[in-house]
Amino acid sequence: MSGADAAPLLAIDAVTKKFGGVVALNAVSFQLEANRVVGLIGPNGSGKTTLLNVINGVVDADGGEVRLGDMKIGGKRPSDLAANGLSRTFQTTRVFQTLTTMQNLFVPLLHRQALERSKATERANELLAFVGLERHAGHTASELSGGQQRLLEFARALVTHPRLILMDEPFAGVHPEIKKVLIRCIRETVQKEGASFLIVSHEVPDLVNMSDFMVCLVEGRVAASGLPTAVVHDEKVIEGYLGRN
Amino acid sequence: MLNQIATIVADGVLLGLIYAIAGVGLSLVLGIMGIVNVAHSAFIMLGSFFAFELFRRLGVDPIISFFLAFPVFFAAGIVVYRLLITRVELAPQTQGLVAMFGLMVLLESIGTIAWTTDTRVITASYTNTATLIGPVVLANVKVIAGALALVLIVSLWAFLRFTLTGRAIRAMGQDRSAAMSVGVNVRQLSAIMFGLGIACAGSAGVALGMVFPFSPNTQILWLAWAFLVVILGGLGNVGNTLIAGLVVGLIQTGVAAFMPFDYVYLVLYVLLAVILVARREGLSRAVRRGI
Repeated sequence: MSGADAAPLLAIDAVTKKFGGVVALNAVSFQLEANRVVGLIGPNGSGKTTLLNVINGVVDADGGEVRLGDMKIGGKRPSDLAANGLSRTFQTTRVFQTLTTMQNLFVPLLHRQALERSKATERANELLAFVGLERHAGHTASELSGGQQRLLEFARALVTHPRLILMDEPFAGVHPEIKKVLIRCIRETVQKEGASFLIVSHEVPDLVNMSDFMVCLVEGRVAASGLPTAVVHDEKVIEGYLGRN
Repeated sequence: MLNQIATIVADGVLLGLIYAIAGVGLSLVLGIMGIVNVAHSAFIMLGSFFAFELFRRLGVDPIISFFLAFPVFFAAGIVVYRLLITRVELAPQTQGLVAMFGLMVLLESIGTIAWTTDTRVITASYTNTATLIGPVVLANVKVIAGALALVLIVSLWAFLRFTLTGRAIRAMGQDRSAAMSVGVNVRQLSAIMFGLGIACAGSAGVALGMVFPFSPNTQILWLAWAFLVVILGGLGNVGNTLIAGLVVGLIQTGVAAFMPFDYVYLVLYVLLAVILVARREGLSRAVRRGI
């Protein structure tokens, strides 16, 4: 996904991260352009979540560089990155359990301009309708089912109109109907809001269908990257992750 | 007998409100930020002396000092957060505990240098007066201190429940890294939360100073009372802290009416042990009941 004249939305350049003697990421490089869905696949322990944590500013890389547009991510706090259009969801849903569905959507607007905050209710209602939770606006998050919490977390990630949304295993353990809603919402968000997604998932067929570009990590290295159909047929990906069957 | 019971209950409720504000700041800082602020009671002691000095030097009524203490101690809390807490908040909890213990010793020593260990009282115009409501005799100073405590607790509860900043503070208490990832500046909110905790301690000190004699070293006693309220009520929850404060106040006046005062501690700590055993929980699970 390189080659454009303008700076890519996300540029990952030779990123390395070690935990003690374990190399979680080894010179990982790829780019993500605006208005795209990128699928990130790989076996457990291949460094996918670590890479999201580095991009998100939760973990500092030991080497290499990550840029969000023109901004270098290294040393930035997650809240600074969120203010610059980066948002994320987590492998295990992490909504704020004692707040209502609506209040969960207001929290990301805390440090936003008054104008944006004045439109908070409008934006929250729009997003709740978008993900199908409008009837649950006044319910506390703990009252929602696991799948509904997943949708709420997704809506919360969108509330500030981010440029890039990182999603870690969004389809893991959710009902097929919820998965359909999520996939529809991701596609519409790309089309209508021009956002981009970097999605980590083991649901490879779904990811192949919805992604414009795919990256496969194996043992912390990029085993293959390119068009999804090409990546899943790559010999290194078959050997390191998918298997021949 | 009924008159005596009514007086005991009324007295217990008023004392309970004061105990609740002594504990609420500690509860919120521990529940939301995970900081065991053992210096909390040292700030309560400074709150008492704040009211004492304003009254002695300028004749400022403690009721006014109660409201003045809040912004003054809030600012002090922000300074302590910036200078000390930011250095230890992500470190293992024992380091934070040692730092807060050091701060407590430092503040108590400063208090002793400034005011010696002599016991002080604040004698305002209403200190030794009482009101008769039907058969119930109430010390005016306790009614005033209790009412001030109630105002503070309700304000704090409303702030955390109805304002965006308050809700974000609760969100941060539930999941700090998720809050960061959605754009919450947790450093800024933590500073506000710690400031609020110390502001509560300062105002609680004024209320306690209106009712009880105090010296720099009575802060240790208040620390024990504040922890008792916090453990009974759970962490980070204003409503539960209020209820716990009321329970402690009622037990104190109830037991003290029929037994020597020393039995109050025995009953309270036995109750605490029974509750912890019955709920089969420690501090970490108590945190989850709150916020």
